[in-house]
Amino acid sequence: MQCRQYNVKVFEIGLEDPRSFLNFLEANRALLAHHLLSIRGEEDPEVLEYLEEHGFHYLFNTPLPPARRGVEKFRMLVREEESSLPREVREALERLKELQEAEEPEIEIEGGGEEREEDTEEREPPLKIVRHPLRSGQVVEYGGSVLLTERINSGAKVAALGSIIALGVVEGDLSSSGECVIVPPMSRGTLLFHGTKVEPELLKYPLNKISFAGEAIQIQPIKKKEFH
Amino acid sequence: MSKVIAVISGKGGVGKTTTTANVGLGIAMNRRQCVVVDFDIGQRNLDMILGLENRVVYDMVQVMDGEAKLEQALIRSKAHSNLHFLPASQTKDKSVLDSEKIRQLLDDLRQRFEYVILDAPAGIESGFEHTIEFADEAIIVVNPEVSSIRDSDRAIGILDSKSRKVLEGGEVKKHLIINRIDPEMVERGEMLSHTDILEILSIDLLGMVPEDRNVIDASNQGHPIILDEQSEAGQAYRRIAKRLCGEQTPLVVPQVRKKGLVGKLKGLFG
Repeated sequence: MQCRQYNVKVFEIGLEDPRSFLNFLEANRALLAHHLLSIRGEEDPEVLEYLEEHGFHYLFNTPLPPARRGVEKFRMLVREEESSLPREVREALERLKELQEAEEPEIEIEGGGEEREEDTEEREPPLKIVRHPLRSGQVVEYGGSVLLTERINSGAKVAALGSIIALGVVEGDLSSSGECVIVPPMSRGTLLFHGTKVEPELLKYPLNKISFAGEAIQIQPIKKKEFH
Repeated sequence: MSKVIAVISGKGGVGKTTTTANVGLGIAMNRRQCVVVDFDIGQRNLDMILGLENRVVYDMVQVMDGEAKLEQALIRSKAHSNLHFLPASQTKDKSVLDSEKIRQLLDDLRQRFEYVILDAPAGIESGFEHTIEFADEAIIVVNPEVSSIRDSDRAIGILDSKSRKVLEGGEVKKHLIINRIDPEMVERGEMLSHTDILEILSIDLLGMVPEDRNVIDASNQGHPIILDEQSEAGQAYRRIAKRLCGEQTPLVVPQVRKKGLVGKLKGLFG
């Protein structure tokens, strides 16, 4: 007999109105594709069909062990309202969707932290997507924008000339000279935006968007509609 | 099929060598032929923990250089006949290590043993890189504290980018041992819990070893703690060894020791 242990990300969601449920799934498909959906509510044939069709992993009305904090931000994200997503984030999510539909990601990150990527192109290079956790000592240096879907551990570093969008736990250092930085609260590590240190106390939203408002740096929450 | 397993930690002093000795002995106790190799060139200490200090004649470097035969350098453990030990060189420097010679040595060991366990040096320098170079699997030993976790995270990063298996498109299987857990401190929230650590490192958990004062004494005596059936740490290592040998054993989270009646009453009224 063989037995394996996995760490799985679970997204818990209530099903009351099948229409709005499906709208939500459709809007967040790229982000939810790697989660196990734990659905509370009555099974609906249309919903079931949709879930099967798009290869979602799901459970209905199954009790789960106590949840952990990391998951919370996602739920908050969809509960709040208004304001618009920057172009780069929209592109990032589009790109992520495409990648998830493709077989294997072609993005390579150096591991030991010694080799670094050089970018000599004049134009801003395409968005780089990092879909594995960054470990201590690993460095992502990039001439464009970077989207990181997994955690960035203490001692890891991301330096981008473009924007940085981090969706997992961030404990490493970030430095961006792009349009914006989108991060959850940071308990560790430093965040530099155009060379200016952003104090961690200011990152009080589940997801924070740091950008310029004229000369000043502003920090705004990322809200619901932006993912629609 | 024999396996080469590197025991790594990044940070020093977390119990890597103690783990190597106990895991190696545990595998031998599960009726498998096992050899533990001290890769910490220039700083021999696995021999002491195994109580084989005075048996060392030839070392690994001499075998690699052809100055001694492998049979001459291998030492059979007093504690179990299935366990052998290959000592590190005390005099030479780690710069003597050479990839081709290491590959040859490990291939020879694979012929003789089912489990080849390598005790890596602390740090992430050349000695460490040589230890992980030809490993099939790795045991990562951490203590529940942030500096240990961060250093092992770094070591895992190097393992995942520099080992031959990864460079050839494969994967080095990684097992986590959380050593020196103090359940009371975890309960008070003063120590990282195993779930916190797993979340950071995202690798499979092989076992949890509670803090146990007897470990130090056992190491000093050259009598690994796994031989002590009463010891909680010894029991934890027994379970770990069984898991490595493919046997199912439940994961045991170290618990705060239950108070006796008097303690409970004190708790009630105190």
